[in-house]
Amino acid sequence: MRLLRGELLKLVKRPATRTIFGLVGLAIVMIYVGMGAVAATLPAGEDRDGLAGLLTFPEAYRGLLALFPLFGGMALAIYAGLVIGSEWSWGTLRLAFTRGEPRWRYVLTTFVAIALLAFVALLVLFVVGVVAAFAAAAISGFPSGDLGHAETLVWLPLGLIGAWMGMVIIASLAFAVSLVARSQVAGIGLVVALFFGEQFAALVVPPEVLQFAPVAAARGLLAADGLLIPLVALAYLACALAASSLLIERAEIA
Amino acid sequence: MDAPVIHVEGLKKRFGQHEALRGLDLTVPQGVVYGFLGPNGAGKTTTIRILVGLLRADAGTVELFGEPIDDRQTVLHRIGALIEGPTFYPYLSGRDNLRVIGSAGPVPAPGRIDEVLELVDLRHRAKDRYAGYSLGMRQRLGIAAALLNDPPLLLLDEPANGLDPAGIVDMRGLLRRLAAEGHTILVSSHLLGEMQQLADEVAIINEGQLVRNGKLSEMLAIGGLIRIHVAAAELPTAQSSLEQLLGAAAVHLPDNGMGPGWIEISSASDRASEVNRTLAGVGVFPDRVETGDGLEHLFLSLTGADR
Repeated sequence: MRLLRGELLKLVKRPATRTIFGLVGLAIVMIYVGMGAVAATLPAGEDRDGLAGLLTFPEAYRGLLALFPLFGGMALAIYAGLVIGSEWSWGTLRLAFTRGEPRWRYVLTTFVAIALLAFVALLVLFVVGVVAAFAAAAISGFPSGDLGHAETLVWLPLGLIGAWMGMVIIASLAFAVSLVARSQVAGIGLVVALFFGEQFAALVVPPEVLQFAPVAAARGLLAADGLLIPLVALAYLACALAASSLLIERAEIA
Repeated sequence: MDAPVIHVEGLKKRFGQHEALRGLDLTVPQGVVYGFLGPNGAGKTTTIRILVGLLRADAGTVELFGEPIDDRQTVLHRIGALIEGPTFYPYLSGRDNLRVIGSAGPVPAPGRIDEVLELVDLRHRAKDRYAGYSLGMRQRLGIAAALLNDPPLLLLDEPANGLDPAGIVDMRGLLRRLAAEGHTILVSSHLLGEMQQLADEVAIINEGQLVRNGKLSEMLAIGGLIRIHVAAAELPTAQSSLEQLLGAAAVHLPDNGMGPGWIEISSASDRASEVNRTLAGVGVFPDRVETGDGLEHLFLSLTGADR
């Protein structure tokens, strides 16, 4: 717990934390305000009905949560790569290891701190998103719907955890690569490549195969029917963290 | 007799084609300030990194506190290290940096962060961001971090880097005080004049090997003395020619474990060139000539940096 407190102190006071999660919040607000503005100009019809589904509650809850593995996942991957990459560039990783802290424990605790912070950020951003969706509905002239829809509210904690896990799984890949490559850019580059690579792969790879790709599996957590996709996604997380722990234990730090 | 705090034998380390350590031996007794000297690339930092487990040796043995290192984590709890300059989070204050560092490894005693900040004279700037610290202040924070758990062994790699003259004097006082309290301090440094004032014992390494070690007072007590080293086969020729030049009483073969080939000449150090010329006249060319002109001179002659 002492180590985790130290890691959280580092992250909470880091300006990049506010910048990155602030940008995600801004992106969510802009998306919803944009949707509201577009919907306001659309004549009645299929397109306007489609936007109504995204801006009217309780459906808006699910639409909002679906954004997080995408924008949140990308942002958290950048953040995780940044955090562990800067530990190399600042030499602070070296300092922690010379104090006799087991290396695997240090890096896993760093990741757990990132994940915990992401959960808090998700809750805050979710509230921001709800307010933005509410405002967008007002701009577009849609009724806001039923914010207190009982069935959706019961599902919501699970949905939040699914969105959070999706973000964390994508971030774990960037974290592992940045740690092993000793570079902030390497992990971020990998995740960006995966995001775009999977999009392009969709042109030639059938969806029943592509759903097991890392980003697709992480994003599919919310919508998955069975256990297979969640298990595959969790396997990516486990592999990323196991690789991080094993490789850092063996690493020579010159 | 207490076991040495650091005992290293036959340490080897290679980076690709470069052999950084070539069978280094090093013994650091308890409670001393131990100067670890050598030119750039001699292997000082590599040795320190091996001691703290950042690098693995290719060969050789390392004992810390009289024990082989089986459980490095436990051993590291008894070491404070400053390696290749201070490393901190630039956006955190000095105090927060120490809090974060103290959260890893052994638990610092209550109030210890304030104590070490006071010790390095940074308490008044403890709330300021590290990014705004001067080089000297950063170095002092690095020392504070090394002292956080009051470890019996301190490994300090160039601790005086960036310090102004007053800071160097303060640092010297601090290290002497810590040594008097029983800490063992290994200091790697290029500031030979400073080391001469600070160290009890020194080791001089060059190209990954130990070239000389011992008590500094004994190493420097060769004022009025010239030491030369020649090939063993040339020793009789060299000895007789020097006896002709300076008299038999002034020339002797040392019996102090320095190894074969050494001749000690009781003479003012300014006659070293005359000694060299005499030897050259009989076809003997010493590979080392040392005079008792202080640590700097000794260092330069041992490491070949004066050639």
